[in-house]
Amino acid sequence: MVPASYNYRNLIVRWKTTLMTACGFMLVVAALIIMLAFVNGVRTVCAESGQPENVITMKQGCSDEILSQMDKRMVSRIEATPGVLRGDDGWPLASRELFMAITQRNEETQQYVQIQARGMYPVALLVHTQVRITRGRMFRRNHREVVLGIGVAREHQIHVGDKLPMGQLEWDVVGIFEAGGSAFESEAWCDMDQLAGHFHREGVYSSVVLRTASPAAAQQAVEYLENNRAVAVDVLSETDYYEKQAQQTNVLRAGAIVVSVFMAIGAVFGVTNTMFAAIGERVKDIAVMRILGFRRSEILISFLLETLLIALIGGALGMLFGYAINGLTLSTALGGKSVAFAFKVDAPILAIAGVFTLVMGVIGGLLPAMSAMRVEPLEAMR
Amino acid sequence: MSEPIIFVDDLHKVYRTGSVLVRALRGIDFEMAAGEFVSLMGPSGSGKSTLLNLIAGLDKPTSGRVTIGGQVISDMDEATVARWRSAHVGFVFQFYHLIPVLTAYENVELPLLLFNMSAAQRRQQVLTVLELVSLSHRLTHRPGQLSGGEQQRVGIARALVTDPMLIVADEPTGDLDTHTSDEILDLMQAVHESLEKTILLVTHDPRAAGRAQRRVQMDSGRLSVETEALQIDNCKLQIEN
Repeated sequence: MVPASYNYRNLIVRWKTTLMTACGFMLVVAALIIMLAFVNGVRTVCAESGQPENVITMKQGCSDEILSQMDKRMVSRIEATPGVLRGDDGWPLASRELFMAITQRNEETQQYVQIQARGMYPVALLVHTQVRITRGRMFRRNHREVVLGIGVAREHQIHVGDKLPMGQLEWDVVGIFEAGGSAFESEAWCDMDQLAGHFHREGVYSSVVLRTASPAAAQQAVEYLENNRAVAVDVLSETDYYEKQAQQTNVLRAGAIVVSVFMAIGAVFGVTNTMFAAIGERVKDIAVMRILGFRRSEILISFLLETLLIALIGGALGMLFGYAINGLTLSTALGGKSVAFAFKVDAPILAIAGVFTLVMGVIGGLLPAMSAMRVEPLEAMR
Repeated sequence: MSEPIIFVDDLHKVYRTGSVLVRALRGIDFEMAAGEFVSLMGPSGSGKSTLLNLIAGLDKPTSGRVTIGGQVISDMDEATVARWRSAHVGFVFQFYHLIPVLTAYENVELPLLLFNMSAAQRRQQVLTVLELVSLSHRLTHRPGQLSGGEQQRVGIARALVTDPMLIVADEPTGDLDTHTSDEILDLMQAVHESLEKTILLVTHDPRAAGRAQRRVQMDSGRLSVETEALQIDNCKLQIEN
């Protein structure tokens, strides 16, 4: 085999060209990682939001809570679904919830911010069992108090003891909760009657979440409600509901791949051009190696490896830059909601970036390497 | 004189330059004995480099045969002749043709990478030949850091490192001044005498050709004159006197 030192020393000799070409790969790989990390982060939020034992019901035809409106009569029928667990007081573990996106002008920054408020009764904590109050306390019934998800508190820099304007009034922030990184962390939770009263939504509910004993029981509840003509609801297990929300990211993922492929074509042309120029300068080296007895295939592999080396340098830098975004939190619209998420760079994404780098390297290096392989020693030496 | 090991039988080479067919070799019959030092002289276009390339397995004849060490190399396919070349032929070029990014040591080691040898074995062989060409102190120097004469010494060491049965040298002193040329020719002669290498030297320089045991003259694709070593030596003495 042609020694690898031949290739890497040539790369060092042409370090400026090498670096510029590698930068093309770096940009592609970094962009790919960032886009996939975005999708991954949003999907993670969705995956962690649902509990398989929970069943979410909304008005028929409404794919999102923000559009759903159900009256008390329908909600009572939903609560009577067989298989719903009951609390110590004998009441079903069914959480009536009113979900609202409230746009509010921040007087300090003069900018509009959106607060996602969820009105509920105390039973909600027995249904959404992943929720934990980590600072302060839970809101009290019939008080104008809110507890904030950690995501929204972090995003708007709100602390326990602060006032949160919602509508015409200011609400006391009495607690911060965490919910395992789920979409709930982007919400402000408060008393149902206070919220409904203030926004004139009395007797209207966005959803009812039912707590069952197991995923199988949840499935049975879903089937029961689907077949019950007395209730016109769309019903899904909570995990299915959030999975459906997450499917919106499939378009983003496809977009990320398409954008990356187009960027990759540019990088591939760059490395092909670089390698053709390099080979043009080194035909005599190639001729000498062929005369000494190196086979055409060994020349091909040598130059292909050289291209891969450039690709790997760029890919490694791209991974480094891409990984730097890991954990960065932002909000994005998902369905009718704004969801706080953290960019998530994980091993599969790095593996995809690695494979992408190698594929770009091979495609970019193949034509030049083939031209190197075809160098006729006697002609080249003249 | 040893038994011949190189047989060239009725060798023809025709190649195309644009629309013109060039008859580079017109029926060459030629033999070389093992350990013989032969120089090939002739004007430009006489076919001497073509003949050297065919004997070294770098090109295919249009017709005729080249047999070396009992193997008909003119019939071998490209990959086979490439490996045969690496084992049996050492090359010395006019412009040295060392790899610029590799050190003197690595340039000499390059042909050995085609063999199944340990790094220690390679090192031993490389150091031996670099010692032979008096370049043990230049192991880590790159070609750009060496003089022309030193580069050609590295070239000779590279040709010797595989212990080939044949060394072909195409104008090895063509790019050197007279003094350095003499040093290189002294070295080649020493290699021939001490290691009993078979050497085929292509040159325009009568002084270089005079170092060979036998001088072969070519003209228009044919061998024209063969001169024995003794006569060459006499010529050389006369020139020197």
